Amino acid sequence: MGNILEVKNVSKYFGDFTAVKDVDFVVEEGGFFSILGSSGCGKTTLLRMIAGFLHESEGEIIIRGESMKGIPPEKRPVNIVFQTLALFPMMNVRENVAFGLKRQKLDKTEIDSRVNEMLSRVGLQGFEKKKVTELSGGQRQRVAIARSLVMKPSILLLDEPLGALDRKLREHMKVELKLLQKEIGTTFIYITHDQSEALVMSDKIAVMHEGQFEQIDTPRNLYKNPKTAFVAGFVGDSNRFELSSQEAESLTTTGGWTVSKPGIEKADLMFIRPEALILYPTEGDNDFEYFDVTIKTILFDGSNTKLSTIVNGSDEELLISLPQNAQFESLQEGDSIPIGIHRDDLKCY
Amino acid sequence: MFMKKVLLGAIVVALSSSAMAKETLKIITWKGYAPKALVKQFEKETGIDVQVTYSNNEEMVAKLRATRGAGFDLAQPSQDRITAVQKKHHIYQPIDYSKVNTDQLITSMVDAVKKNTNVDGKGYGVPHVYGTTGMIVNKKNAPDAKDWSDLWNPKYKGKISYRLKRPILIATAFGMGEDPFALYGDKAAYQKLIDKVEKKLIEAKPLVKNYWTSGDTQVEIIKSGDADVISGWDAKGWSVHKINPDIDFIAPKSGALGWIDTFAIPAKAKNVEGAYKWINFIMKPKNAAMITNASNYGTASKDASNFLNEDIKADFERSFSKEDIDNIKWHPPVPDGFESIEAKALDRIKAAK
Amino acid sequence: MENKKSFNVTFYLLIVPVLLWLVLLIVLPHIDLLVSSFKIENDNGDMVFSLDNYIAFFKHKIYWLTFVKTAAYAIGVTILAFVITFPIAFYLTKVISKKNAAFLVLLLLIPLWVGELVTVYGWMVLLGDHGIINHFLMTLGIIDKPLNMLYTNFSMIIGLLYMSMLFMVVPVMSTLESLDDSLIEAASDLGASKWAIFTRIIIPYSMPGIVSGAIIVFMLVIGDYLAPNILGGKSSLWFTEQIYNEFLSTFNWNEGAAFGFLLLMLSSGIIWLALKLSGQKLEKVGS
Repeated sequence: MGNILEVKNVSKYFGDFTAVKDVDFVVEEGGFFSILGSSGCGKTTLLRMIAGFLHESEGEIIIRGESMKGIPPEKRPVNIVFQTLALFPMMNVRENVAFGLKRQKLDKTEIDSRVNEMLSRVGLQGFEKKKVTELSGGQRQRVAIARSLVMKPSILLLDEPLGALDRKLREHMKVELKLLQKEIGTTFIYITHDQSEALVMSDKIAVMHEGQFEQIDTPRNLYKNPKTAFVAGFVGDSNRFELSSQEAESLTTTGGWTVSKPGIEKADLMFIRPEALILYPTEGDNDFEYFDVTIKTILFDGSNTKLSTIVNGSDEELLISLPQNAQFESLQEGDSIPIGIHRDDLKCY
Repeated sequence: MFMKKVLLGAIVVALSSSAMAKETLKIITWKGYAPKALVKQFEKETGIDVQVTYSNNEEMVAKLRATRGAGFDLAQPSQDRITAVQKKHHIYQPIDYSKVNTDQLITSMVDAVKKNTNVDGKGYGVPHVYGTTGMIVNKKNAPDAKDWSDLWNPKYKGKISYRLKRPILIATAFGMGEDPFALYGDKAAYQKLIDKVEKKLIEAKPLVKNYWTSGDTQVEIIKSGDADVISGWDAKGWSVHKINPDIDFIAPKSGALGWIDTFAIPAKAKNVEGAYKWINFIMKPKNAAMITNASNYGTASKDASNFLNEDIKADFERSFSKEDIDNIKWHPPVPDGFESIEAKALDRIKAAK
Repeated sequence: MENKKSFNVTFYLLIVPVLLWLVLLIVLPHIDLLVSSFKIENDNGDMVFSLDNYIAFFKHKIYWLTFVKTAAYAIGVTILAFVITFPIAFYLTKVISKKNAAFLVLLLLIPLWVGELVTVYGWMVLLGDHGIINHFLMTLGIIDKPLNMLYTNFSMIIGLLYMSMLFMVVPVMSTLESLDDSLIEAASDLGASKWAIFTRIIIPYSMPGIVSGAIIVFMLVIGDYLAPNILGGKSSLWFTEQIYNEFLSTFNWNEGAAFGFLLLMLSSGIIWLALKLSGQKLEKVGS
């Protein structure tokens, strides 16, 4: 499939402040593309430029091969689901969804059939006459998405639409949104600061930091092989170490823990995922680093239970995921246990 | 009825509690009839606290009617507006002429007012000031305007103004050669005359710039040049003359309308003695002259002329020849029900295109 | 318990003067007026119960026509007030900064500080044949004869607008303030033109504010006395003037009372009708 969106070296300045700096990427047709970053990183600015509410200072945005220079929001083949949802409070569900089609002066029967189809698709049939103010959070969410999707946009832009929902509902909507996108095949560009949302739903994720893209990759690669220290720290849980010295193939942390990693170039930081650490490893593999730790506390959290430990012979703390099988139930605070890790999982930057 | 008593009771309690401390005299009157300087002097001489409310004939009657003659110790209605209201609403009490120092008043005026305010053999008014309603004319633009009939002279189209109240009906009747006062005894004939006057004024409406509504708007419309021929009060005309010598008051050929404003004592006045004190005080020649000098209104005080400014006399002589004075049409008391005839006609004139 | 009791005492102490004021000075006089509006004087000079005062209104063309004219002007002024002030309210809430807006609203309040009579005289000075505007236009040579502006329906409408406009601005501003900008963006994103955004989103959204503003303006204008009387010219018989005349010229208080209640009922009826037609509810407007 071809690229539906091309963003070419786009920058945006507000006076002296650079909100978006030289961002360059493409989105494939039918993909679920997320832009992940903390608040103030420039992701909303980027989205508003794609929608046409802001004009890029430099660079160009191309949708379906057409430059969007000078094209106002109402003429662009994109639609946006706002963070606040921006449902029209004085209209009922049907009127909200039909709003855009009516602006196109389509005839009534076509509007009716498209609205009905969209409402049944998002599971809102029977709610046509309800005031949007009478709906639950999840239902309002669906109205907002239906209102945009009924326009058959080339791209649907979503600006943290799950932000206002409670946790349970958010988990549910994540799955629903992903399925909906798969079903209708519209390209989604999804903006969020919540990595779990991005990881669950996206085909591709761009991690944005201080106006720039750090890495664009599949969720798996992003997690497994973060290209920058920022991505490593931002996506998923990690143990983070500052390195004080580096000799030949061995690295020493500021806390006095030394590990060996062959073929490493100059590095300042090291990241280790808690689940990459193996308890009671079978020793003897040359690709593995073996060491002992002492258990400080056990942080019980169901399937997400972790051990907080100190690496023996150093001051470094290390969080280790605890697999939930009976084998490790006897572990107690103060126990010293052997740990192994594949040297590829020592991520140095 | 019960409610009214409760309401009045509450108001009376509220008012009297504040009035206990000092003897007060409450006067409802026209602007200029109770100047501050005289009020101060009176308060100093008698120790009575004077409270003045400014009003006009219509409101004076309305206020006194609402309280059945309470709330004020002295009112100053025009002499022709007393008998009809008194017969119906009993809002005044008879004047005890023995308490009025009539020696300092013009005897003929006292007698005339006594007669014109007579209800059941008792007089209800003492004359205070008098004046005339005539025309105020910009002599540069309208040198030939001489009579009431010029208020519907097409020559002055768009430059005419008058107040749409009963005096203009009377004036129009005189201008048409009729004598409305002669018909005061015959309601049907009066109705017919007013119908004729109404027709005339509706016909003449396109000529009118605007109807003025108060002493201030009357002065404003002639002074600003928006109108050149208007009905007006002598004192107002003379005051504009001082600013613009082209403008002056004239006595219309068919007769200026004379009015006399009186002192009358409301039925439920609380300080009747104070009211008489005020009347006798204000009519002292020097005090009466002071009011006339400031306002240009004629006074019923006999010897006030000794204290009048020269220009006041000059104003009067400029506007009134001996003939004009004799021709002044003094308002006789308005019979009951006549004002309603007039008001309906006035409404129709105002509403007409 | 003790606490609650003392609260009750304080509560009643506070509420009693208000109630007394309401009942003694507003409710009782109104009831008295209402009763007197149903009385006429018979040939013997006695007051008897009758509907004649109300019948007179409908029987005499001059009375009901004056009311119809007054109401029509009031509706017109209300619409004009909306047309003129809506862009102002929009500008103040959506275009400029809050700080500048506060200052400009303060400027809008000035006519209220000086009072209606003063502003009415101010318009006389401005609009007269020899007034400032005519003088200015003639000096510039744009006209050679003064425009007849004062004492016309034009000057009356200006005066009425000037005293009532602000009461439209304030409620409209308060609804516009609550209008989320993303609603406008969403509409534009869905392909709505500027005009469609205005008519489909902004106006319907501000409807509660517009309606409450319109009710206040309509009531103020239909009940006004000064502007029609002084600025209004020779044919501007306003219904309030008719009431005034009944009380003060004709001395027919009973008729005047009936007219007063007719004004209250008929203008309330017009508002009720307008609410029905625009699909608004009073309780929504009030909130």
